[in-house]
Amino acid sequence: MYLEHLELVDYRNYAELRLELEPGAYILAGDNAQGKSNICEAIRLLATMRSFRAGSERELIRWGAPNGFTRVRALVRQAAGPLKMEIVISAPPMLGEYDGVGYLDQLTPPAASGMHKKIRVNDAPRRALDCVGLVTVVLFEPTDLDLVSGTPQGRRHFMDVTLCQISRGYCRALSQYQKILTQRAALLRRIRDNLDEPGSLHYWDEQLAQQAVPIIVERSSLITRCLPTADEFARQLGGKSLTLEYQPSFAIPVDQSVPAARFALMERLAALRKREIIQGVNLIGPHRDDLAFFEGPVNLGIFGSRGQQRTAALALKIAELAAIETETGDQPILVLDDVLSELDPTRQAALTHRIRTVSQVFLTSADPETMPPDFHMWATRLQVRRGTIQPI
Amino acid sequence: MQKIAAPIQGLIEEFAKLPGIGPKTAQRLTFFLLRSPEDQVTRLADALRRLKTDIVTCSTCFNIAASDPCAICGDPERDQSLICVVEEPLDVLAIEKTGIFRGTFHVLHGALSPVEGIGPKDLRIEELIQRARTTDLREIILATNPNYEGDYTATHIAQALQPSAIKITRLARGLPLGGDLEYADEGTLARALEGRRTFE
Ligand SMILES: Nc1ncnc2c1ncn2[C@@H]1O[C@H](COP(=O)(O)OP(=O)(O)O)[C@@H](O)[C@H]1O
Ligand SMILES: [Mg+2]
Ligand SMILES: [Zn+2]
Repeated sequence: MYLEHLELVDYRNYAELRLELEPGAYILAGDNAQGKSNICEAIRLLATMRSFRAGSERELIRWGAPNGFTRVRALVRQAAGPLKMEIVISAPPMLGEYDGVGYLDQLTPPAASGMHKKIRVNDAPRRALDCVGLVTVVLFEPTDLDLVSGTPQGRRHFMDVTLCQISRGYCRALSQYQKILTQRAALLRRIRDNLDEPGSLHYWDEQLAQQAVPIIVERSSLITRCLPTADEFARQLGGKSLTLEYQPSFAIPVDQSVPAARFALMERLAALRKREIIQGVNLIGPHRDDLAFFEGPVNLGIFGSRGQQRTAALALKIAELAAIETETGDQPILVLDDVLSELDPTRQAALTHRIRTVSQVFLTSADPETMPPDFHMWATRLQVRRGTIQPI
Repeated sequence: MQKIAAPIQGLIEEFAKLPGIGPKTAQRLTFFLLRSPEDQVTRLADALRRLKTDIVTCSTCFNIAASDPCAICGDPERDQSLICVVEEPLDVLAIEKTGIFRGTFHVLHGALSPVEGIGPKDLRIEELIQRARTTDLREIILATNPNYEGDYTATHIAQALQPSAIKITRLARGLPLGGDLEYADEGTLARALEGRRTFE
C-alpha cells in the first residue's frame, strides 16, 4: 500500500501541509528540529491510532493552534481499494484562555482533561480500536536498534504493535487483557488488605486466561514466522545466523487445545495465589513475556557485541515487514527515521538494497549526502524546513 | 488581571464541576442566566433545591424516588416476584422505556471495581440478598452493564445468592460489549431482556 495524499492541519510544528505522493522511496532531508520525526509520527498514527512519542495527545496539537485541534487526513491506496482516513484530536479549552467573557484564571481545572479523538474511515465515524491496522506502517527509529539489548518491555511492544496491525482480534484481546490486569492487581492488593475475599479472584483468573491464551499463541506464531526472514537478512548483513526465541512467562505446548491451555493457566494462577496476594502484582501472563536472540548457542542480548545486537534488531524489523505483508496480503508503508546514519556503510547498503521492493518508503536524514549513492538515483528527495516540505 | 464579581465567579465554578461542562460552557451558562428574567432563574433554583429536599431513596429497591415505597414498588400491578438488578437509576429509566418489563427493580448504585476501590460493601448487594430471602421471588435478572465491572458484579451476586431456588438470569448479549445500558437503544435492550439466559 502507499500514501497518495497526506494532509496535516496544526499537527506539531506543521500549521498546514499537503503532500501528493507516489509509490517509491522518499528521502526527507532537513536539519534537526525541522519536523522530520513529526511527519513520521503522523504517518505512524494512521496505523496505530496512537503517537509513538507523545506522552499526551495534547502534544500533537500545534502550539497556538487557533481552534485547539489537530487533523491528519490521508488517502491510502491498497490492494483492497482506496482508503480515506481522518483523525481529529482536540483538547478541552485550557484555563486562563480569553474567550470574550473575561479572564478566568481563578477557576479550578475540570476533573478530567479528556482529549477527544474522532476518526473517520471513508467518511464514516469509527472507534479507534476498530481502525488499528487498516493502514499498516512499519516504523524504524534509532531506539529500535537497542531492541536486543533493551528492556523486555520494548520487545513485548514490538510483538504487540506488529500483531495489532495484523489482527483486529489480537488488538482487542490485548486491550481487554490490560483492563483485566489493572483490575486484578487492584483486587490482589485489596485482598492483601482484607478488603475483599480471595474467592473474588476466580472471575479475574478466568478472564485473564481467556484473553492471555490467544495472545500467547499469536506471539508464538509471529516469532516462528519471522524466523526465516530474520535469519536470511542477518546473514546478508554479515552475521552468521540468527535464531529468535519467544519466551512466554506461561508456555503453551503447540499441541495443546485452547480450553486445555486456559485451564492449565488457571491452575498455575491458583498455585501462585499466595505469592500474588503478598506481592500485590500479576505474576504470570503475556505482560511478563520476553523475546531472545541467538547466534548459535550465544544469547545476543547478554553476550552479543553491539554490532551483533544491531544486526539482529535490523533483521527483526525486516522480518516484521515481511510478516505483515504475508498476513495482510499488502505491503506496509516503511518509515525509517534517522536510522541510516546510525549504520555502517555495509549495513546501509544491505538495507537500502533490501527496501527497494517496498511499495513506499520514507527515510529521514539530517545528512542525506552520506546515503549510498545509488539510493539517491531512485529516491525522491524532499526538504523539510520549519514545518514545511518542499521538493528539491 | 481583572476579576469577576464573586457571585458570578461562584456559579461558573459550580457549573464547571458538572460532567460534560468545561470552563467556557460554564461561563456561557452563567451569563445566559444573568440575562434571563428573574422568575426563570428562580424556577431553576427551586428545581435544584427540590432535587435534594423532595427526593428519597426507596427502601425496597433503592431507586431514587418521590416517595417510599417508590411508584414501581408500590404498584400492585407490577410483578413483585421478579427483580431486575441494575447499576444506576438511569438504567431503570432505560428499561422502563422498553415497555415490556412488568417486574420490579433493585438499584446497586454502581458496579464492583477493585481499581476504584468499590467492593461488595459499597453497593446495595447485601440488601438484595436480604430481599431475596424475605420475598417470594421467581426470578432475578442481572442487568448490569456489558463490561468487565458489570460482568464481575453479576457473577459476584449470582454466587452470593447460592444456594437458592430462585431462577437467576443475565441479559442476552447483543448489547455492545464495553457499552453502557443507559445508552443502549430501546429495541436492543428489549431484545436483550427477552433473550435473557440462565446464569451459569
Ligand atoms: N505541538 C507542537 N507545536 C509546535 N511545535 C512543536 C510541537 N511539538 C514539537 N514541536 C517542535 O517540533 C520540532 C521537532 O520536530 P522533529 O520532527 O522532532 O525534528 P526532526 O526534524 O529533528 O526530526 C521542535 O522544534 C519542536 O519544538
Ligand atoms: Mg528526528
Ligand atoms: Zn422501589
